[in-house]
Amino acid sequence: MKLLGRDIPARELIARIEERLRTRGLPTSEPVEIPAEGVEPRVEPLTFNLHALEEHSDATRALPLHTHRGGVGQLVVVAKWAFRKTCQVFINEALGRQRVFNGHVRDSYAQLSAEVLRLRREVEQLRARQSAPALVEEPRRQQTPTTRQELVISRAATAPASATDGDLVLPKPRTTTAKKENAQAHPEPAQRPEPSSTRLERKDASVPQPPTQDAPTSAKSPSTSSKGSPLRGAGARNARTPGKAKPRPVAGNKGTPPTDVAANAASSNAPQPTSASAANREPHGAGKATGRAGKMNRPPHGGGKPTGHAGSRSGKASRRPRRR
Amino acid sequence: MAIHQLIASFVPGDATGQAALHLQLLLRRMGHWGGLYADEVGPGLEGLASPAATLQPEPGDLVLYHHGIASPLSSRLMHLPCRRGLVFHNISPARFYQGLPLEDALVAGRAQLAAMAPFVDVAIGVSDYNAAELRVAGYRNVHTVPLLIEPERFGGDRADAKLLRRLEGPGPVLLGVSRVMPHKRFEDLLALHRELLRLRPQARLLMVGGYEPGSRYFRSLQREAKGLGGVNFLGRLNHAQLVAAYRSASVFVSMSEHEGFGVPLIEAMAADVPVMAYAAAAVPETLGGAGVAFDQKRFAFLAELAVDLSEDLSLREPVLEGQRRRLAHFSAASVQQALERALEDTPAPRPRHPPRPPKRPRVAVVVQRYGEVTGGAEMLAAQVAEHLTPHWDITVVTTCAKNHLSWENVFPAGPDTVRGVDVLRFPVTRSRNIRGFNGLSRQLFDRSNERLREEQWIAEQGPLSPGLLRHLATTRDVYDGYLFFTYLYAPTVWGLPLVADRALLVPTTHDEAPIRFDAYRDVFERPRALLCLTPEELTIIEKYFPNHARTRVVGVGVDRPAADGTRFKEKHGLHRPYLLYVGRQEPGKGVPELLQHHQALKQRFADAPDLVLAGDAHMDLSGEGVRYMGRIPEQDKHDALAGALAVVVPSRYESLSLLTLEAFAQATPVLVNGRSDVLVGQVSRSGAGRAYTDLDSFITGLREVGEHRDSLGKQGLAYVKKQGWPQVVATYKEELERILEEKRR
Repeated sequence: MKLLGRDIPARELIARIEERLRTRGLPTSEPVEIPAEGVEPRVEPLTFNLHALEEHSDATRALPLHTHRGGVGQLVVVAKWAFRKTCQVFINEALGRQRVFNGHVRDSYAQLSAEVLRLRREVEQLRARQSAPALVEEPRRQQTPTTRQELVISRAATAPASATDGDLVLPKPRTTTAKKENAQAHPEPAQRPEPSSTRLERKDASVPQPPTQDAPTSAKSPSTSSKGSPLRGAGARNARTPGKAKPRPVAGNKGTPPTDVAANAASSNAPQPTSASAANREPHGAGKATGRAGKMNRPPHGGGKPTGHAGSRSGKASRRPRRR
Repeated sequence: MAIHQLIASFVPGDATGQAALHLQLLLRRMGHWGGLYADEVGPGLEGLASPAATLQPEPGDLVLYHHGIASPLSSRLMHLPCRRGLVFHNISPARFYQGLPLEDALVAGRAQLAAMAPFVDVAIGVSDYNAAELRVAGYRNVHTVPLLIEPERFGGDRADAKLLRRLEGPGPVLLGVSRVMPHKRFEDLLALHRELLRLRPQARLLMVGGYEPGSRYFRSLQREAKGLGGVNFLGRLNHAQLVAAYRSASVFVSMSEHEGFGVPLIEAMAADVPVMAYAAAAVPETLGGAGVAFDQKRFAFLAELAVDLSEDLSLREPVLEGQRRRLAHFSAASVQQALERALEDTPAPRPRHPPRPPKRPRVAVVVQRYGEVTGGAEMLAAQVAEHLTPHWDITVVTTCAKNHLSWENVFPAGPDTVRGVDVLRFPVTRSRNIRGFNGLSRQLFDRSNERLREEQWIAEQGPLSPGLLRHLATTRDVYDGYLFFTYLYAPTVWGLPLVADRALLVPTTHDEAPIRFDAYRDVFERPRALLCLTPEELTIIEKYFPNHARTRVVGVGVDRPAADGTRFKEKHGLHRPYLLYVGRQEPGKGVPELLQHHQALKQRFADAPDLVLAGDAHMDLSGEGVRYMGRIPEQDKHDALAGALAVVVPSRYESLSLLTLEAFAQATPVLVNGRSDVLVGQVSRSGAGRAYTDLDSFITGLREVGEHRDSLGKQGLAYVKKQGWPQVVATYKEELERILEEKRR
């Protein structure tokens, strides 16, 4: 137990109180490991938004049945469930065009965000080239990355956290169902057509191996959970938070490697006209990109994990934390 | 260039809105004009903040966006065609809300935070902790500008007396203040209280903050509290009640697991309550060594500590002393320094082309209305402007309004000339609903309010003219000096701080309810000098603003045009002696009381004089022997003054009665409201009238004035002869010369 305060005799006060606790027969202080508090990690916006769009593009799907109220709140939940059970077919009919529209929005965003990532990397490369002549020729042959991707990774490994660093963190499925779907769709990620640049990244021994879609690791990456680090990742928080840790596209920490999906998204030359999210969307394609049509043909469902309103006003104003 | 602020939600009780108001206050002091824009504007606050969709910044403007939980405004910020800044108030970690709908909004808020980074020129964290998060999110040019506190608003005199009495009782009393949210850990407060009850069975726990009565979390807290004694959920409180809660507490306790700043911590310090706080996130930084922070929630230990802090004066007093010292860090002056550092690349507005030094000083006379308007202060402004025009290049900066009740635009916007004086008019953007305004006044007068409410009242008072404020901010170097008239209205309250270093104020102070608002502090403390009309006005200023700017009693000159009372009587068919009141005919001027007294007079005395009223009327003016003339020409007014038995001044709130002086100038005595110190002072110094406080004194006074009309009139004339415009003009010139002298240095 520590007491912090400039105007108190901390030691004396602790001793006095401990003595009183002893007198009362209560246990006194024992050294306890206090987890160091760090600031919250960066949430990569492009990735987050892409996943949010994917998760919420199907307007016919129900939001999770949830209430923070007891009593009447439970009745409302039951009413909502009954409504979905009986009227889902009408909902599908009414929101069919919205689904199509949302799919277009999602795909457009995926394409644009992939372009942004690609352009950022090119900017990084150009900047690196500009600074390259300053180096001595001999060491440059040994140290300078030979490819664009190596160069980006080498910068990521040494540079402080920045907006572009974070872009190397790549999309992961948000829900377990999506993960399962992806696992079925891509049992062997390495077998998928992959740009040479990505393969080069993986061969680079200086960076951790990238997570596959079957086993996304960035949320629990050991590199992000070092104690006391100001950039402590979500993994560290999740590790000491009871309950299920939901994978999140978070933690734009340096050195976190890209995964296949974003690598594909980042490469404009990759033959993936239906965007980086195609792999996540495809339910049973086994390598065949069915694209948006495949998603839209999927029967609507009302379950799933809790979802929010990413990028929107987060629902009611009453949910906005107020001072008091 | 303006600095606007963009907020998701501007509603009472929201810390972000309060921070935005405080920033606006400081920005004005730094010479920056700008508006508040919000996605959600609370009812009644439309005068203070505009809808976010109406924000249309100019390319050189800076928009500061206050970011917290996810908001579509972040997308809007990225696309604004101007300089962009961000004020980060932190976002509660999503780990506290896993599986709940709020979780996504929290994560989305962090994603938006990172997304905005490349598009933001200056980033401000309200604590170093928040600034660190900004850096992690990819921001450069990051600064820490803490939130500020106005400690005087938490003084014992600001507490709600009723609640204070209700909360009286045995101690120790623990207090927790925050919205009831899971990460605030109210259950830990209850656990602490349980331990405290073992030591002090009479102990009480006050929990203040908004909550949803039906929520599971709150109900679980209620169930837990039922098993204990002395737990009091006070819910959301208004400011005066909040102060009462603080002032009733022995110790303030924060068990929150996450705070990006912790406003209640410094509020408790301002209210002289020792603070005990769990050292989470930015809490140790906010405490800065003051109060007591702890790193483990051992409730038995903390209960002992709470007892010591409550009862052991040798421990409590140094802690309180340290907290008072710590408050200096959050003072307006200290926070303004931090803000200036953050915005040092954002200089105060400068003119595009430095003007050539004029031969004569250029002075802006700022007043809420000008031209054909009825009103003492406006009339005074016009007289001063006209008398100063031969000496200075005067431009009257005013609004297009004519009617002070509705502020409707009547005059055309743009340049104008009134009686040889250049006038520049700006449109009013919001007309006034006088009924709603009076309702708000009843709510706020004679009680302690938070800044938001006072600013709301000023906004409703109006007139709101953003163009006028922008003009002041962008022409700082065009004018050598600024002469503001009347402390009360928005153009003065919000315009004067923009140019305070070269501003003179003629406050026309009245001892009225709004003068007790702290929001008027800048008006009385920041100008170069306050030019008062009477010694009584000075006394009022001394009473409410002890740290006021330098004062000087200037008075006012009185013209003595030739007048003929008989001419007026013949023109209007008046055959009986009459009492005269010229001015706004409205309840605020005491006209209903005057009418009552006159009717009683008529009933008691057959030879009672008539009552002649002139000026704009905003009430019914009927009655036996009452003659309402409407607005009358200047010459008619002087004729009427000359022909009156006596001039009556019924208003209770006067800083100086021009009508009294004008009556003296026509050798006519006055009968004034004796509850106005200013009027009583004018009468006693001149010896040219009588004061009344009720019907009897009204009748007695009238009889004396009637009997000694000539001698009293002569004394009045002698009094005004001593006060002439040459002396008044000389004083104004002297004060402006001081400003010019400093400018030359």
